[in-house]
Amino acid sequence: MNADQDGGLRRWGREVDALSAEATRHNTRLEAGLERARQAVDEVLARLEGLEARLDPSPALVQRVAEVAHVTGEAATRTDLLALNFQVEAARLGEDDRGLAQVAYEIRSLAERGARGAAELQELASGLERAGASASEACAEGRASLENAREVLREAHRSGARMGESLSLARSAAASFAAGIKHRADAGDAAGEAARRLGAAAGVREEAIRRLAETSAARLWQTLRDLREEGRRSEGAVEQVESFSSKLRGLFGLVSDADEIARRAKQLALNADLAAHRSEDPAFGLFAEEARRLAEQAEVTATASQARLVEAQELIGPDLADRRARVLTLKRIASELDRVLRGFGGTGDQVADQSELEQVWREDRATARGLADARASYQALVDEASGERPALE
Amino acid sequence: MSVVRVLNVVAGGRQFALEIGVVQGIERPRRWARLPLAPSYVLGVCEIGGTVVAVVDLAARLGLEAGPESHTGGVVLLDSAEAVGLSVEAIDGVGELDLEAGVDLGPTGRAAGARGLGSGGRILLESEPLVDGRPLTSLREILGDAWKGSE
Repeated sequence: MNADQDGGLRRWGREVDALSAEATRHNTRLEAGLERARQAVDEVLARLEGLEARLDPSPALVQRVAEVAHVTGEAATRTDLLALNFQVEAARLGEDDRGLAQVAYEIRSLAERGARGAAELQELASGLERAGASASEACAEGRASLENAREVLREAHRSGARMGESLSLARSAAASFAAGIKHRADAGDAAGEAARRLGAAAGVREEAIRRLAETSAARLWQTLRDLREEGRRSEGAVEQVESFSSKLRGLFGLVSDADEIARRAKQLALNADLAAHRSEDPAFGLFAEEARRLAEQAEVTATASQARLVEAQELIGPDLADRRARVLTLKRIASELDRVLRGFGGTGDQVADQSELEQVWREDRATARGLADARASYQALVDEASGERPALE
Repeated sequence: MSVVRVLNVVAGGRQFALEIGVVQGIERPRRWARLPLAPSYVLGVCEIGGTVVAVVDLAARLGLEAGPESHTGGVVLLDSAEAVGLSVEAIDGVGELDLEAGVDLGPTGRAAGARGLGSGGRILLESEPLVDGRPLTSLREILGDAWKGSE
């Protein structure tokens, strides 16, 4: 080996050594970041378990709202029919619109509003039922996507550890190689050629390790995108539940409508009593009785509706809090993973699949074997040329 | 004929009116029994306040396609010798119909079950031809352009 070759190989040895040391430091940072991201995913999965358990009250919520819709709808129908008949009777008897018929008209308006409210409630109940089903579905999808993320992170963690080992070996090989060159400067052409082959094999291995890192990073970028998508879906679910919650608050107006119907029905009963005396028509007496029953029914409806709406609100509150917490945690994981990957470099535009990753690993192992063979050949040549044992390791 | 007090109803997706004097009341029966061999416009019979009432589908009786159902539909009980009710798609309540500004259809209209055409296109029905089973001529033909205008 001449002086130029010796100098070149020494420089190469130093460069490989520095590169390997840097790669090892980078790998350590990557491992720590991946561990943090993995812990965060585990945390979300644990939360998800709790959320799934708490999604169970959704059918109860739907039932409460459907009950309110039924009770309100029934009351509205009965009220409307009574008021309509009262209007017809008042018109047949030539009653003035400003009197009895007017009260009946006002009650009809309230009944119509009640019927619209009942229809809206029914729609809300159906919407809640659909939302419950889609929330469970989204929960299952989210779980699958997070399980996948956890698996990818575990794999990346294992890859990181293996890369660390490989880098450590490469650094050790480079150091030993440089030391061997230093001691064996006069080893001759055959040893020089073997040293060049050894250097080339070590370079190939460095390239394989770099590709491995890139491929792992590409998979992690995809995981990050999945997590962000999951976060957006969860945010959508939160908005949906918030909208239902807001509608429920609006429906408390129905309760005051029922109270108003009760008040007007009592007024109608009194007026019907008066009309019965005035016209001596027994129909008004019957109306008075019916109106009193209506007033009682409206009061019961108001109480029952209020109780059920309060129950519905109590059910929706914790569900909403859980969903919001989940969104926040997902964002935290995505941010953590993003930070780790930005340190890694690249954007992961090309997504690697599992088979590609395995292929790179196979190539790396092959080059590692090639490197070991080259080192053994070099050792043999040096031994043969000098009869000494060089300080390779 | 001038301004009459009426019960406003909807049948076949079109607005009709019944003079208040012929209306006995309004009901929303939950179920009724079909009558075999009855004309197609007879929906069946139901029990209302202890009386068996025959229910006629007003839209079918007038030869109209059924319109969309609504929660304000029901049966208008007629004040007639026979206990008969008209099933309608919606009951819009009591109002007034100005026939001065409309059209008195005369005997031709009565043959189709209608008494006149009020302002705004609402058709005032004649109850008797609707329930006595006689064949009715087509309202659409009698009203001509006015039928389109009342849509």
